[in-house]
Amino acid sequence: MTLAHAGHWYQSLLYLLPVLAISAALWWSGRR
Amino acid sequence: MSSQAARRGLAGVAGAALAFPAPASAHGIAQRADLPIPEWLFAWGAALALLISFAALALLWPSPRLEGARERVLLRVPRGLEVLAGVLGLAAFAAVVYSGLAGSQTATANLAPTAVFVIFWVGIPLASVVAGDVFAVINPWRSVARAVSWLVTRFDGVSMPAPLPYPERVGRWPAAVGILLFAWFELVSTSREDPSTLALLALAYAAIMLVGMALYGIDAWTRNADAFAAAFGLFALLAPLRWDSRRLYLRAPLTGAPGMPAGAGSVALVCVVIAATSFDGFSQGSLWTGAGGLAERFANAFGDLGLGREAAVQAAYSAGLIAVVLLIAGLYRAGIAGMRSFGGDGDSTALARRFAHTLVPIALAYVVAHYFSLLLFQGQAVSFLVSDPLGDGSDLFGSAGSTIDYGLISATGIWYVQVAALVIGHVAGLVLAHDRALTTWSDSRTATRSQYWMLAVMIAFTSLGLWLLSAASQ
Repeated sequence: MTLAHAGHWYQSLLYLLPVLAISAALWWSGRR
Repeated sequence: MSSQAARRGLAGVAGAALAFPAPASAHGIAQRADLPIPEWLFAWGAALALLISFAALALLWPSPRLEGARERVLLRVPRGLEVLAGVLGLAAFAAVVYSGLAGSQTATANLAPTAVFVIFWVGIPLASVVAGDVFAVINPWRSVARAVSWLVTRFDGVSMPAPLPYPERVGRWPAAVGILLFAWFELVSTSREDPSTLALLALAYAAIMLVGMALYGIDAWTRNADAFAAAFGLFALLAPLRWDSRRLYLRAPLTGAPGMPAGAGSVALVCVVIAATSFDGFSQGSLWTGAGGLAERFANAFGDLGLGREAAVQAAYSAGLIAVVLLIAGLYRAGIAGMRSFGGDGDSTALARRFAHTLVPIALAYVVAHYFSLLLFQGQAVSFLVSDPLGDGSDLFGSAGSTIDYGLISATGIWYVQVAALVIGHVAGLVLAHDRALTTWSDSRTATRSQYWMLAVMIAFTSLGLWLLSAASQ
């Protein structure tokens, strides 16, 4: 995607981060 | 008419053209500038709320409470009232079709588009959550079929021939396909705002429903293949009221959801309802519509295949809609795959159907979040459209001069309603999933651990919902 949309992708990442963080925590917790 | 119309309305721009152009993007941002924290931080807060709810469920909800919950008869409804509701539904249908065919072909001046895309598509689901399956009572084609059946039996002295058995393996797939086609028409077709096309499609749909009911029986066909009856019926599962055989039952909210029919196509139906709303939001954002955005790239790709410009754009939007359906279904199946790793009876398809009802509050949350403002603002247009349904200057009920009050709620107020709807809807989804897990796995610890993946899916849906709302205003 063009650089013009970099801000949008960054914005999208901010919404994705809690999903990834909690998913990783749950995965780790499930392994133990 | 999608939620674009309401956003345009917020900007105070009167729509006079047939097409509903690009969203008034800047207004959303400017009017939400008084939020105390950035919009993306709401996604973090929502994720935290879900995490806390999950922990609370694990600690405080050790045995199933929703399955087989009791309900009591609140009142009995006279047959006359049922007939009256059917007649009113049929009259409304006739008025919408007549307006579409005979009235002005300017979408904003004709009753049909607002009646179909706002009152019917958004208003009925929201009414169903409060008052139960209202569409079952006013469903015009079902009313016609029931009236014909009654007349034949009453005056011909013969009973109707037994209907064909409805194929179980087809299940609710026709309803899922029907909703997908409606979404395609609403979000992709260039004819979506053409009142006469809308009226003709409504007539065609009613005809198909009548033929289907004649072949497979009124109830079986309506439950499985009438796309709107099936979709609106999903929302009614959440309601504290249930209508059945002219009786009104009272029950605790959410307790109807575990009784959702879990046959073929049930997962597809809920996923399509969620995806239709999601794509509506996504297709308004600049990531999709902006210069160099995904829509343009897809359209160029389809253009390279030899399609004309309009066909290429429609193909791009169609591909986007399908991609969102697959994304939603994929997210859900990922949660189910995670659950499968904890055992449970049946294969993953059976497990997916067993938990399909947990998606219903999410579908509701998405509808509220995306269309609340549309219903609030564009819904007011009904007051002048019913007085002048054809757009020819008539004033049947003396309200043709009324206007839309855009000051009812601020853009910030709308945002808070949207966030609350998404959080409450997903917490409700978690509650339903937790309760169902307790009946699927024998010990509560395994049941809770099986829901780790579902929690991740719910958080993903919440974050996606907030991102879509945010992206739609950029």
